[in-house]
Amino acid sequence: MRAVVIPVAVVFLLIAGVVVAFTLQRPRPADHPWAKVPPAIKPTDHSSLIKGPLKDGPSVTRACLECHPKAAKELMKTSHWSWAGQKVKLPGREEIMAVGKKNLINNFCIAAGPNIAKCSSCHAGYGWFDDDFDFTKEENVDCLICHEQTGAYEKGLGGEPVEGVDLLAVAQSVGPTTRRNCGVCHFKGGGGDAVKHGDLDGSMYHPSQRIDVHMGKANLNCSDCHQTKDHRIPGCAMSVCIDRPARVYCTNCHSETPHVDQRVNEHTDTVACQTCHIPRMAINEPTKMAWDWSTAGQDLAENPHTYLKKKGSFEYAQNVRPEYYWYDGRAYRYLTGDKIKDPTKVLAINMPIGGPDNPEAKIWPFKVHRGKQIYDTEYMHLLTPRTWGEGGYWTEFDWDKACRLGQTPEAPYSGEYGFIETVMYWPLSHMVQPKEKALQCTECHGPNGVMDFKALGFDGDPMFRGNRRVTGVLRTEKGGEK
Amino acid sequence: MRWFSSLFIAAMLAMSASAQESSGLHPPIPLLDAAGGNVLDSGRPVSTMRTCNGCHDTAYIESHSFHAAMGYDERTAVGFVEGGRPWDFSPGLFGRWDPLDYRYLTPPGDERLDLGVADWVCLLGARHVGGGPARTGHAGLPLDRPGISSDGGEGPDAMVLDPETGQPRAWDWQASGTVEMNCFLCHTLRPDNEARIKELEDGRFAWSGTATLAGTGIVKRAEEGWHYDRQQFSEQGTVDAQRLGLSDPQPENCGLCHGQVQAGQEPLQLNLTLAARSTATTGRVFSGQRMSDSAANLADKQNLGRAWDVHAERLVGCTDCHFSMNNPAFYTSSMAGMGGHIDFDPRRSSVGEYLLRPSHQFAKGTTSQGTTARFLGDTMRHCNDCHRAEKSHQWLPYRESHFAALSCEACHIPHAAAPAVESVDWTVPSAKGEPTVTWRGIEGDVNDPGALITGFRPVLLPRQNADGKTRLVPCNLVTASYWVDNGSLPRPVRLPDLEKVVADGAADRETVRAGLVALGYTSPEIRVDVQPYEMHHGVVGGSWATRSCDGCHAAGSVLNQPMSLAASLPDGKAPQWVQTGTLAPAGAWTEVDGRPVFRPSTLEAGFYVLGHDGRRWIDVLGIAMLLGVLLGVTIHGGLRVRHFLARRAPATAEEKTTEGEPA
Repeated sequence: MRAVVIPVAVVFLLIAGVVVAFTLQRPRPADHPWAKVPPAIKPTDHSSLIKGPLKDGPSVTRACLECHPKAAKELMKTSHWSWAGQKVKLPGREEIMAVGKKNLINNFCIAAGPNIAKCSSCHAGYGWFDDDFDFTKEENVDCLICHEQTGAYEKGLGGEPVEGVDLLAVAQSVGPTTRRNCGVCHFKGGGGDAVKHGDLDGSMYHPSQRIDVHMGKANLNCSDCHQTKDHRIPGCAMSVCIDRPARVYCTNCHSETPHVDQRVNEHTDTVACQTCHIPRMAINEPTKMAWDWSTAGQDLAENPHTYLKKKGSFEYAQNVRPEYYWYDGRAYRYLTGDKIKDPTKVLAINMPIGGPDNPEAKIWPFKVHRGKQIYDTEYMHLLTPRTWGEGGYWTEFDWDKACRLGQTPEAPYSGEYGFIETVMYWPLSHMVQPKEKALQCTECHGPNGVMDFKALGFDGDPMFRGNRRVTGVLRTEKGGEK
Repeated sequence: MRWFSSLFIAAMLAMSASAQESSGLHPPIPLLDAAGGNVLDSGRPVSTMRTCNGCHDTAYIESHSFHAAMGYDERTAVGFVEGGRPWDFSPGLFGRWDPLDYRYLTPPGDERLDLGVADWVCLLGARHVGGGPARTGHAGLPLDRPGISSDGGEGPDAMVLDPETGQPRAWDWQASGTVEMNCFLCHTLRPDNEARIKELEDGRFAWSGTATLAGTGIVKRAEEGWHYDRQQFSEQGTVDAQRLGLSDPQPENCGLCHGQVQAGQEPLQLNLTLAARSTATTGRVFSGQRMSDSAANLADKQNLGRAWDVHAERLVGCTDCHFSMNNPAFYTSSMAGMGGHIDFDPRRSSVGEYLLRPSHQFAKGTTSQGTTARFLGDTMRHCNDCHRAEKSHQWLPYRESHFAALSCEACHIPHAAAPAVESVDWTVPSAKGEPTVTWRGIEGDVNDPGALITGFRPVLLPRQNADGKTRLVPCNLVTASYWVDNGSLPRPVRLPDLEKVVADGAADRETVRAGLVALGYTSPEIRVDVQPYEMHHGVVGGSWATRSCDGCHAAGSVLNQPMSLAASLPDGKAPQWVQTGTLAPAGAWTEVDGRPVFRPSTLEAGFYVLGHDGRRWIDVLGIAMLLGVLLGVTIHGGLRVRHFLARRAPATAEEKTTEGEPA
């Protein structure tokens, strides 16, 4: 009997071993995208760690710093605090300077400076009402805006918590950052949901795969890609990051050539991943595509998507095809006080740098926001009107007064103003689609393609005429245009 | 002068290489009428044969075009078309009867007129580019010659069947004009096909080419004929090529006759009519648009992230495979594949010569339904001319066996995305003279945009290929039921007669039969035939193709899936195959759930499919071998055990016995 049982048991164990070996999940290879995603941080229950009463924001911060003494210092080195980047030599300029939200002009709400008490409701700090704000005071750092998890925290003027917020409850809820922490400011850029960014809006709080494959299917958080160290968060909009700061790249997780089809892989030298994988922006929520300040102040029928007396005329669009331009990670930028050469032409407030001959440039998808905004017809520069608050345009509908109140040493106001057409480029990196929804050949190439290849500097459609290298060779051979 | 012409033509070709926009180098051209005068002066219809002949040999083009001839130059005696019906007299539209159109082009000499040539143009001209028999009829003489009413006699060149009286009457060719080969239909970017067809249907044949330009703004419909807008012409009386939209043929041009093609970004709406003939017969849609982005109500739409056709999605156009036979850029060497030492013949006609006389015989395949121009069969670019299947199918076990038994399409057209016609039944037409048509691949009425489109799985039939090997190809089967008068000259019963019988109250097949007898038909009988339509478009990429082993190698193999023929067949008649080409349908007519079906048989076709097919002798042999092996092992093992036991037996006893009892 034993002579039978033992061999049978051995065979059984062998078979079972093989089955188990095959059914066990093999560890992911090191180059698998999931291997690059940081493990989720287990939140710490702060309810017993933070004791009240907490009378204001700085008192919350002081409580945080008792256990996280470096946190405020770390944050104060970042643009989330300073609203200005590192001092760098900007493209096309000689001087070294730091630019950021604090001192730049855009063609949405125009300028934060003269309206800082209002704009700072999205600042990671407390008490930025005017130029007297103390950027060196650690207790002015607002930890809650990025870490509270109640959803009941709201900031008001100067970045102070609005009245009625239970600061103790909010402080005891803190944990690792979530989409909501980031989205509460970044989804509402430009003054409302989906206004400024074509690829960031409230649909990203809990998106389906239809909106974004990373968040909808893989359930990633913002910080899974924007991997943060010492409160330094990589990634920055081209509007305020003109040079190449620390950015988030698809290749941080994915291969340079991740496609099965070699022909598709051959695109990756010239075409950004985003170009194909963000075929449309503002998928769910309409985004603002144009803003004409020159029509403001009239008693016309108001509609938040077409006209408001305070703000002028708008154009919104949903599920929009981006525009495509070369981009090497840098941008030209209009700085406050820069001279306008020709007010009859559209002024580019920012513009991506790149071209077919630039080996670092790739074709990127952009939201292009077209505006018409106030400028000084004598000094020939864009103006920074005060819109919010006492004497502001939204109160008195008086451009002259608004400009006098809002003028800065860099952009003084002469008393004469007009309106100029402007344009801003916003590269897209969110609302990523899987391969099943990515651009197909016909959507770029052929008679119905969305790419204007000649405008991009090719001799024609590269599917038929050759890629930029071929184009470059031909150009060189044909007379050294290169 | 000739060198200048060649240079100019070469430059034109170079420009057309982009193939995406109207050629900027084509010179402005005067639009000429049939007499050679400028249409601005005469106000007469544009003659493409005159206008284009300034640079291109239009007579050569027309005489080298099976699209113009439509089988005219392949005519046979009635009933002698290979694989055709007993009344066919050509393999093309001009002489091959099609139950989807029903009306029969009457050959010369027939007593009972059905379709005269003029009626043929009105009815079928929508799918004919013009020229050929639309200019010369059966006799090969200009139809608008002054004496046709006398020398054409009572024949189909001169006569048509009057829809009011049901009697033949003479057609006024002088008034209608004839249909010239319509260059604009295929060589302009935005041809107005609706306007063209309207002119044909209304019998204003000569204006059909002019009407094709309606979308350019050059011409506008007037109360009588068309009016030319002088503003669109230069002072010299010429029209800019850009305004005309001159271009080499785009897939959309081909789609005007061949089925649904869409290249734009607008959500695709399915055109489920018999007019989109290739779509209606095979369910094919040539579009690079993702199915999930279309406006069609597709089942499981959100997961259909593939294009309707992968080649369209990759910008491979019709002419990339179906090229002109003397196009020096596309023509493949006749030396290739001949087994000699030369694999490629680089010699070509000059570009100038090509553009002067571009052959309009286009490279084509050989299909059961594409019966015309067999002499061009298998000249087109096939899958293997572009793809290296052995490199992309490394995952596939027994590759050579699969490649030998299956066409590429068998796996790469696993499913027809659009519905297709299943059956057409003319035995009891409606009061409007329309047949009962059933479609497969749709739940509901094809005219209802809300009907759920499921598509259908093609039936796989064996086909002999150009290389001599038989492979399975996907097909749709279209069953046609109709009345045939089996008199001395078997012919389909004329539609006007059927309409009259129905109008007189016939409501079922018996009363229709009686009515037809009363009209003089001697022996009307119902014929049921099945036309297989091979499917070679609507191709999907590898990730959407059939890949699973058990799809074929299992009891429910797709290789033997039956295909429904119709809801029912008239009088339970067994159908017969028609126009099978090189297909050899192997299988049986049978019934599934009360519906008549055709069930293919891989065994009958000569294929033995592991996991699906069974041969009794192989089973018996296998069992016998198994039992034999078991028996052998048992005996061998038994002997070993016996020997082992014998060796382990107590030696003393054995020895005692051996020693104590001498042998």
